Amino acid sequence: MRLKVANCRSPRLVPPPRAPAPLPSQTAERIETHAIQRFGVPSPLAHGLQADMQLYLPIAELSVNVFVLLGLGGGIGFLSGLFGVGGGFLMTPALIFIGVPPAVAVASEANQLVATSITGVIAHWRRRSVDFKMGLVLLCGGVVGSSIGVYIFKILRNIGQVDLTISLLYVVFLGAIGTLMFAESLRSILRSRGGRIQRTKLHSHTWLHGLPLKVRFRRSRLYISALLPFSIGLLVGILAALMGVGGGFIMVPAMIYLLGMPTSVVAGTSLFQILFVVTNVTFLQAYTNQTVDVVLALILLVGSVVGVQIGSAVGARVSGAQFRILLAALVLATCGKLLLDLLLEPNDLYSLQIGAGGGH
Amino acid sequence: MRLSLLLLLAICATIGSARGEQLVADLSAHEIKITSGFAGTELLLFGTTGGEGEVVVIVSGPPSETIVRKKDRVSGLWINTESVRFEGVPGFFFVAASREMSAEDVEEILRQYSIGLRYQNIEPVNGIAPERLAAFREALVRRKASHGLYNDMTGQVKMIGDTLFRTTIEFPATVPTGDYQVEVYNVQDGWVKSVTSIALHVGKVGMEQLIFRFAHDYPAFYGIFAIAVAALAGYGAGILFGRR
Repeated sequence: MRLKVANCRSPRLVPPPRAPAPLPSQTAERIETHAIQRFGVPSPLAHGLQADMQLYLPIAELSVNVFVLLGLGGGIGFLSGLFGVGGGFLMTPALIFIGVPPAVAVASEANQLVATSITGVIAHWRRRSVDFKMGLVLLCGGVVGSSIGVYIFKILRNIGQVDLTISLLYVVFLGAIGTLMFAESLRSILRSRGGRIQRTKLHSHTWLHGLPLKVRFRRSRLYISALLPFSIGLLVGILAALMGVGGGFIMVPAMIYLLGMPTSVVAGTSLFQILFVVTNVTFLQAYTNQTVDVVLALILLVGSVVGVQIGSAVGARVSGAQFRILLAALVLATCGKLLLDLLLEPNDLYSLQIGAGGGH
Repeated sequence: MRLSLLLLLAICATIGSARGEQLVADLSAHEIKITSGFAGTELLLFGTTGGEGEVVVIVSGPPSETIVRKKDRVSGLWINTESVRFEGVPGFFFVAASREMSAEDVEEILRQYSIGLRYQNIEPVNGIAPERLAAFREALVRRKASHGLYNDMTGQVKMIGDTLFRTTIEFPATVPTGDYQVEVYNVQDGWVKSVTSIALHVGKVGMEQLIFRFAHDYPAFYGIFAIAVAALAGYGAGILFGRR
């Protein structure tokens, strides 16, 4: 082997900067690089301080700032307690945003939701706002559905369409629910300002009430077919496993608008069934994919158990309409961002998936 | 640190001159321990060429299967359409050379010894036209580089005097675990005169290792454990706050 020695002193000698300067972008992967550069590599001056705040996550295999995780847990826990939703639909994208691999984010979020929903259920139980009978029927559907969902998730990951599916599901559901919620709370705000009380029929009979297996749900003051809540639980379970959420943001509107449950028992009952769905998802994800990061889940739940208490205390006192409109705006913003990411040309058309499991 | 480095370099220099023209190199540590506070690290590589010539340092991480996917616009949406699966892709790759080496020279060595993502024999598993394959190969390098896992020509080996050299190798927090290959080449007049390799291991230790092994060796028990921990924490918080 012979190299041209004459070329040795070429002007191309000057090395480029340590890493190519990342362009401003919206993709999680690029931001991940940013995050690592900003938080991950300690500068000599801030070394002592940063070393204390950094935490290495054993399953996610990356280092993150503890206060970022505590803040995320607290803020989203607050919303969770306030509205009776799991908060997963905000937490999962947030985790992916700070660089956690999507597969780990989905599974660890389910683990964290186990704690959040238990705390929530206890709080609602004290206020006697859980319809256990309805919850039981819903969770039967939910457990079956989430098992199917974890299986579908695995297939989608093998063919490389899991990110697309997640994004599309979020866009469709967040878009629809955000719009519904926005319109509804806007109406109720206007109504209360106008001082007119609009009476609606307590129960309207449709073909849904003709279904067999009719069961009386006392606390919900309903006499409907058990098939109805079962299939809602099933569908929400599938979506919950696919989207890495508890499914409260779909469950709550479904209970109000489809089942016609009184709003006083909706939050507690949905949390009750979410508890069992996320327990099932956590176990299946840990067993089949080894993607549950218990350290990540623990840090998140320390923040969220506090947040959820404050949230549910506040939720019991204030009128929901003003807060619901904020949540609706948040839901629509998340939806819009995800839609833009699908429509705009990505900075890099290529992405990597390392090993058989996980990765981006 | 600085003093011990000087001392080591001095020792290297003595060894170098005593044994004549021999390449000697070592790392500041032979193991990177990933603990709960791990946020990436730097290792110092130093040594002596024992004589004349330039130095090329190549660090290569444990190989793994990697799938590169490409997005295309399908009815307005950007969707993964094509994918190429590569086998034996190093999880980490670092190249540094001393000042006198040009980019072309280093490339030549990489090609001759078939090292690096570009020249290593990392074969795509599914068949694809060669001219299209190049784009996938480039994307592989680019994505790795954006994560700080692939540093091609970015490091620099500093020569101290004629024979002593040193360089720092940066490992990001996402550094893959396993056995690494660290190789030092002494190049003179375009010829590789001698090669030496140093062992390096990257591994999780303590709590991190325990949790990782638990999750992978006993996934069912780990799942139950994770649920129990979360349930206890949630229940405890519920009781605690409920009493207020």
